[in-house]
Amino acid sequence: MKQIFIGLLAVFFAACSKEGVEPRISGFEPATLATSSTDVVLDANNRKSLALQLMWNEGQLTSTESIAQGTLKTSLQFSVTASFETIARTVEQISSSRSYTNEQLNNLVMGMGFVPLEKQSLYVRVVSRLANNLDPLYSNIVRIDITPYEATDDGDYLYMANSEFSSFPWRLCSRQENGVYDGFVQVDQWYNFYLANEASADASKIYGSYPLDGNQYVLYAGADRWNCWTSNGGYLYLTADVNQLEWKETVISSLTVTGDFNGWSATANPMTYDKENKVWTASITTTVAEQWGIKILINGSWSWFFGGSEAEGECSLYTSDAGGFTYDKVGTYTLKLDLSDPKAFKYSVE
Amino acid sequence: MITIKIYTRLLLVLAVLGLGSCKENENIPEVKADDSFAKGADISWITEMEAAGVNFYNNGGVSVDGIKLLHSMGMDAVRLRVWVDPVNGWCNKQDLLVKAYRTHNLGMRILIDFHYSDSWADPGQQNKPRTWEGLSLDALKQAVADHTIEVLSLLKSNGITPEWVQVGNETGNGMLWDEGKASENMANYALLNNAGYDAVKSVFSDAKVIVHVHNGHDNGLFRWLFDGLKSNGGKWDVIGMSLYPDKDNWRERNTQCLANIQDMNTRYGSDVMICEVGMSWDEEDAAEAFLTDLIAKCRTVSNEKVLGVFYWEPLAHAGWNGYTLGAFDDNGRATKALNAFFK
Repeated sequence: MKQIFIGLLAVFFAACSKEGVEPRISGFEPATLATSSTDVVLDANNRKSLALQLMWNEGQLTSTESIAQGTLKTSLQFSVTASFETIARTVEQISSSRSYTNEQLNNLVMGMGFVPLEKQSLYVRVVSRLANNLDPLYSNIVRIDITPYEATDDGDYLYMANSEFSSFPWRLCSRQENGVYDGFVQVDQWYNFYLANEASADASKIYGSYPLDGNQYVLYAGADRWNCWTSNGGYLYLTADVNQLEWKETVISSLTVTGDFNGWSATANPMTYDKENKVWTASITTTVAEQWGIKILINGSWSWFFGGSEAEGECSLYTSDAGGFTYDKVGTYTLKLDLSDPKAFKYSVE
Repeated sequence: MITIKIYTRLLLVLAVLGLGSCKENENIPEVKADDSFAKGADISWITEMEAAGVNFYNNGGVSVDGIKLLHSMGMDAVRLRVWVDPVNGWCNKQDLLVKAYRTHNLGMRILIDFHYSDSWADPGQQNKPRTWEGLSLDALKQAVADHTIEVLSLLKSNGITPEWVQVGNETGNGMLWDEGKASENMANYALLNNAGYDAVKSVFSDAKVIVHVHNGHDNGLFRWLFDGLKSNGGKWDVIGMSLYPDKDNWRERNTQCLANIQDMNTRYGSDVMICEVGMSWDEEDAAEAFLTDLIAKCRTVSNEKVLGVFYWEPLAHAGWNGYTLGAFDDNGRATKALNAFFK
């Protein structure tokens, strides 16, 4: 198999080289993995602080002919057993290091079934692939003892309040905790609302709009604020930037599922909104596990979609190139997408 | 027969891929083997950016490793800052090691930038690390030496050898205020600087030690500081400069900077490194012209007395930490500014 591949590689490079030269690739070696720590007690009080760094030398591919960037693919594999009988997570890597904050590592291990406040071992290795038809190479295995914390609902939210402050139907989240909030809401046309930092009429910060005509999208927290309103209504994507003091709305006209199963069609499998349960659903039929995962396109856009996330059962919102999220069920199933908590967009397959 | 069919199909596919790879490689500039002029970038934010999900893209729109991207564009050196005990951990010695290790594994050259602070040290602030507060001058000298040796030894034990080491960052008015504030006590600053200088040499005897000062166009500032250091026995191998002009004054600033470089060469016999440059990311035409002219001027200095130019955090984009002088656009693609390094 290896020989065939090398033969084909020769053809591959022959496309660039003069006749008679036999190009060879060298330097395809197992990576060497190192960790910043082998015993990590995760700290709930410093969620954004650096907790763990993994780095590896993946080797340098050299060839008698010039070689394209990105020929070598690497990923990190995580397991709870040294034998890697079950691989709990695989994370595709672009760079040859990975850094985790306390929160990110806590999410990772809790998703693998770790128990809060109990020390358990995490095993990590690097997988290097040169091509799908060539056996991958595995690095040394690193063991890290990790004690996670009990995760709490501690996101950085802005709550959408109705004009009477009697109901808080939706919320926006600043996932980067940088003052830029976003989220998905479903409201009637001309809905009046405020954005508050607590789900309470006594919230310490309540944003409305600036009390002057023509300032609908200007956020303002003064006592003389007007309420915000949407002239659209329906299913909306809202962003609120409390640094720039502005908010925006985008009407969501469609969510569509795309993948190998439908030939990456942007229209073939639309999702339906279930107002009562606040979830989007679609029936998906596959004949094999999705090799590249699946994506959910927003308004048919290839540059605004839900794609892969590290955490089990979650997908991430992207506005640029990214891979799909895992979908390995085969047969006909219902895909459910729950966008009600913008801290983490969740999906399930039933 | 079947084998031949498959082979033919694969041949077609691979021929297409092969053409693709040829096209990509046409863009990689050739680096002259005898060119020692460092074409570098400070990329200290990269691990934090990666953890926050920030991506970098090549011209083909493919998400790639930021360091490899700069390398593939012809950059051959990386500058990395190190803080003593930063609040969130980023840019501590371990994080420095991760970035240095990646850089080293790509065969690139390394400049280590000691801030001797828990956060930014620059002309506006040279705060002591929290755990160094209240130390006597002698104890501060020891702390500088210990920290320098600890960090550099960590690199050494991982097989990494920096070519240049900065003792202090933008120390135009000294470092470790108030004890080391140059305008108040140049002798103290020289002592603290020398503690760092000797510590560097004790780990890496061949590393060139840089004293780095802001406003590379301001010859008066440089003469004042280096005259002061010299008269107090201060040691350095290389004089480092920052230069951040805008689109309207870069010509004048470059001319002033070149004159300053030449003065530093003749007055102290010192080599010069342009440790930091930058211009607003959305003035890419001006930035390219500024850098092209600056690098050309640096190369006109005889006997290779200018060692290189480093762009400060070119990878920062889309409002990362509020910094707008990067060289990547809002979509994470390199602007024209970086072309200047590869001419």
